[in-house]
Amino acid sequence: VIAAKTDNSPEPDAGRTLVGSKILAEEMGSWLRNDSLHLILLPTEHCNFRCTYCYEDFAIGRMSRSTIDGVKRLIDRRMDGLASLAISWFGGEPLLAMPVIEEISQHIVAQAGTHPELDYSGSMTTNGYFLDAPMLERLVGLGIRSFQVSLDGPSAMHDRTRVRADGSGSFLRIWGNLISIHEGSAPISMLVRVHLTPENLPLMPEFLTEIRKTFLHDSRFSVLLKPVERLGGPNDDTMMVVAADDRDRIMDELKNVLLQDAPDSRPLFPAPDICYASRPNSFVIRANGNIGKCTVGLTDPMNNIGHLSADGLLKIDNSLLRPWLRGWATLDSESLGCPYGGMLEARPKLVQLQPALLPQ
Amino acid sequence: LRVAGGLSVKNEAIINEEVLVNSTFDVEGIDVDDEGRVNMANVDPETYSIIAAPKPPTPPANTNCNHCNIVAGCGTVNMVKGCGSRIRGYLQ
Repeated sequence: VIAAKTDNSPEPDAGRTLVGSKILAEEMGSWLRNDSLHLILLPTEHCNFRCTYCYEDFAIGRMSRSTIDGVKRLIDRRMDGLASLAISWFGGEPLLAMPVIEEISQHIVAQAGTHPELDYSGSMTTNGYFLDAPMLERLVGLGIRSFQVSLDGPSAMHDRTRVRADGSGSFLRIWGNLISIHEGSAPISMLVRVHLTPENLPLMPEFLTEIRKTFLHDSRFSVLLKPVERLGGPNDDTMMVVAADDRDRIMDELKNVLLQDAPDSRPLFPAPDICYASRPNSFVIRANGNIGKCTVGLTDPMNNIGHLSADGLLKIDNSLLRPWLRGWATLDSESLGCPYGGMLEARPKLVQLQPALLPQ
Repeated sequence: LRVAGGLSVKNEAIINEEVLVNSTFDVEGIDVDDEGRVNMANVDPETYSIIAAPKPPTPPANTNCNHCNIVAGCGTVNMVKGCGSRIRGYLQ
């Protein structure tokens, strides 16, 4: 794979395999090496929202003391020889557990100060409700500079699906926070993730135009268009999703709305070719210390590959880890891009054997 | 995870009425130790040496880097233009 990159040989069928692509070579370099570590931390699994399509069950609350200590000790253990440390805050709503974020992040910043070779980057997926300017400044001070906030359309539509736990809407507060971030000068990157559903599609051209005019001349802002999917949560049976056979056309039309007059495609955030779940040195640390690979299938036993102990040791069952890594063996884009999807398809099929074939 | 021929997805013996179909899981040789380090036993040495090589050091020509280490993609390879005091201000 590395050779295919360096000798500039033609790329083989890039639609089916990533062999030979520059991205894969670079990804291999950064995600299979032991001087890189990516931790997705869930400081709480509670949330102040109840989005109608959410797949989480909020059963686990704030990160336990044992897990907080475990994360800090793990980082201590790995600090020497680490060139890249990426911390992604997820939840629940991570900003409901700001003390956890501050404790761990301050520990990392202090360690980074004594390890000048370390490239530390912090990011956060948040619903944006608490992300006002003072909060943003606190987070930037902790090295958390990349953010992802989701919108489901204009106010009337967004407030029907991204509902607060008390049933009230959330759009105006989030939009106001984005405006204040845009008006400030904090050195951050803001990814606005826009969810697409059959219901909100008719409103999207106008809404995306508003986003473009309001934010996209600010180089810190970009947009990811994301059709809502059925991801195994309790709302799967009732939610509507954009039809698969119409998706490409719809996405192209909406991208054109966003890119109008743009000199390049910077405002559009490209979907990653390789999911973090495929990366051996990327781990989800849940609030109770359980270790996973994927932030979607949180209740799936296959996504529970071990436990982080308070002394910073990752007790991982490698037989449960390997299915997530299979893309590195096959190098097909589907397995690397979403290993969980393939695992769902490969679930054991139950076959009722003839009674005569059963052991007596 | 070898699942063909008698093991379930939990690495347990298949029960009487469970049969696995079309399993492709076979990534023997890759595992992770207790500190999250990746071990790859079945990767050829030349490829592994490239993968395992550390990043290049900070280019000496760069004068903006203050090793603040808080900028994504900055620090050891890619320097953010103007990085330094503006960023450091947020640490203080």
